[in-house]
Amino acid sequence: MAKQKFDYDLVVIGSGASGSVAADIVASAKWRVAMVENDEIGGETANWSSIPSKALLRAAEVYDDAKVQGPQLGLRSGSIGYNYPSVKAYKDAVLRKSGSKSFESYYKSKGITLLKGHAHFISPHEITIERRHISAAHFLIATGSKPVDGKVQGLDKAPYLTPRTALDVIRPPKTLFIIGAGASGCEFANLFSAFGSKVYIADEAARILPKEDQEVSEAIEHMFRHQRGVTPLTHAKVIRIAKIGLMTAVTFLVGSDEHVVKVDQVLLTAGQEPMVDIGLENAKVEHTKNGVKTDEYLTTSTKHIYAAGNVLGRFMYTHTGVYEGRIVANNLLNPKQLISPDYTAVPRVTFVGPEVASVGLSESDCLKRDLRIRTAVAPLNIIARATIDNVTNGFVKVITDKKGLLLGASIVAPHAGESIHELTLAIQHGLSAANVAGTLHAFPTWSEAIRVACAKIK
Amino acid sequence: MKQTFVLDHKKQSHPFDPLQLHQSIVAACLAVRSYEGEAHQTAERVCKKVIDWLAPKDEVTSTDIRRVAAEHLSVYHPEAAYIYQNLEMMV
Repeated sequence: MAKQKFDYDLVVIGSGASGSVAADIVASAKWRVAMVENDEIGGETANWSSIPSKALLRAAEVYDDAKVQGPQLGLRSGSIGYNYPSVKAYKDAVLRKSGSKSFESYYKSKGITLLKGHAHFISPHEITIERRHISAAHFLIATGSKPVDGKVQGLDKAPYLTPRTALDVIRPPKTLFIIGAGASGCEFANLFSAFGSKVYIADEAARILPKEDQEVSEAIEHMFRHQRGVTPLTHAKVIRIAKIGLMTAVTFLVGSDEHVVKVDQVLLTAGQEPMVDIGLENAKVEHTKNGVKTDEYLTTSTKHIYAAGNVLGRFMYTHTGVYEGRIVANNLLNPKQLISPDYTAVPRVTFVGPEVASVGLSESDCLKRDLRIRTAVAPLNIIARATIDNVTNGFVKVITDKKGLLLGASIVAPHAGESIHELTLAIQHGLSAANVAGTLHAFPTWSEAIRVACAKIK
Repeated sequence: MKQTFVLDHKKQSHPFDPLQLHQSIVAACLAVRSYEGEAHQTAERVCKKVIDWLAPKDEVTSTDIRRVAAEHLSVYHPEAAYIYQNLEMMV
C-alpha cells in the first residue's frame, strides 16, 4: 500500500473473532490497520459467550459427575457441594487467562491502532468515532450480533436474564424458565439444572434443539427429563411474563391451552441478530436486518468494504467467524488470488451432558433437498469405552448418499466436540463411510462408535 | 445524557435538535391533511424513537436522521412518511 491518501489501509469495525484475525494477518503484511471496538476488546466469544459459559459448564460437569457418577464408581460423594461465588471466580480466572484482557497490548505490539467508540459510516470511505473522522482504503465490517429482543408482553416491566447477564447471577435460581430451546438455551438448562435449579425450557418448535436431527433432540430431551429434572415444553409459545411479588409468572400457550408457571428467574435466549446499525446506508452497503449481503469473496456491494462473522447472518459460530476473517485477509492481500469460504462441513457443538456435535447435512436437510440417502446409527452402549465410563446414553449417526459418500453426521457422546472433527475432515474431503470404517480406531475410545456407524452403511 | 451531533450535507457538525425534527414531522403530517393535534402526537412518538436510536451514537448524518424518522413515521402515518422522505425532491 504505497498511497497515503487515507488515514489507514484497513479499518476493522469490531474486535471479535473475525475482526481480530483479519486485522492481525493484514497488519503482519505492514498495512496500516485500525480496529474499532465500542465494548470490551475481544468481542462476544471472549468476554460473554463461549469462554465464560464453558468455564461454568466445566464446573457443573465435574460437580454432576462426582455427585451422580461417583457413587456408582465406588466413590463417597455424599457430602459434595458447591460455592457459587467460587465457581464464578473460576470463570473470571479463565477469562483472565484466555487473554481477552491482554489483547490490547498484543494489538499495540502488532502496530494495530485500537479505537474505542461507536463506529458509524458517514461516507463509503469514512467513519466517525466519537466525532473523530477516520478514513480508510478498505473496511471490514465485523460487528457481530446481539441477542434478539423478545416480543413477549411484559418483558419491558418484569426483570429477565439474557445469555450475558445469566453468567453473572449471584447464585443459581431455585426455579428458572428459559425461553428458547436452541443451543444456548439448552446449555443454560444443563448448567443451572446441574447446580440444582428446577428448569423449564420452552420453545415454539416441535422439539428442543430443533436444528439438530430428530434422534439428537429425543436423546437430550430424555436426558433433561430423566437425569436433570428439567421440564422441556415444546410447541409452547410464551405470551406474557409478569412480576408477582418476588416471583415472575410466565404464561404460555400449548395449542389453545393456556398455562402459567411461577419462577424465580426468566432467561431469554431467543437467538441472535446481526448488528447492522452502523450507517451502512451512507456507505451504500446492501443489507437487511438478517445481515450484510456479500458476494462469494465476502465483498459487500461497495467493493472496498468486506464483511465477516455473525454480521453476515449465516453461521453464528466463532470458528466460522475466524475462517471468514482469514478469507477476507487473504482477499485483501492477494487480490489476484481471491478465495471464497466453503461451508460444506461446518461443525457445531452444543455443550450439554453428553455433548452434542454435528456436521454437514441433517436428515431433514437431505429430505428438503430431495436427496436419496442412507443412514446408520451406532448406539454408544455397544462400545467398550461406554461400559468403562458407565455411560449408557448416546449414539453416532452418519448420513451418506447412495454411493456411501458422507454428507452429514451427529454425535451424542462425551467429548463429541472432539470426535466430530474426524467426520468433518471426511465430509470436507469427500470421503466415503467405507474410508472411515476402514481406518484404524484405537481401542477403547469413543471414536470406535464412529467406525461402527460407518461400517453399518452398506 | 450525551449530546449527539449531526453532520449536514456540507459536512458541518451541529448538535441534534429534537425541536427541528418535531417541526419537520408536524409539517409533513399537516401536508397530508392530518389534524394538528394528531400531527403533534405523531411527531412526539417519532422523535422519542429517534432519540432512543441516537442514544449510543456520537455523530450521525442528517440523511440518517431523515431515514430513521421516516421509518418510524411510516408506522403511524405512511403518507406523511412519503412526503417527509421525498419533500426535497418534490420542491
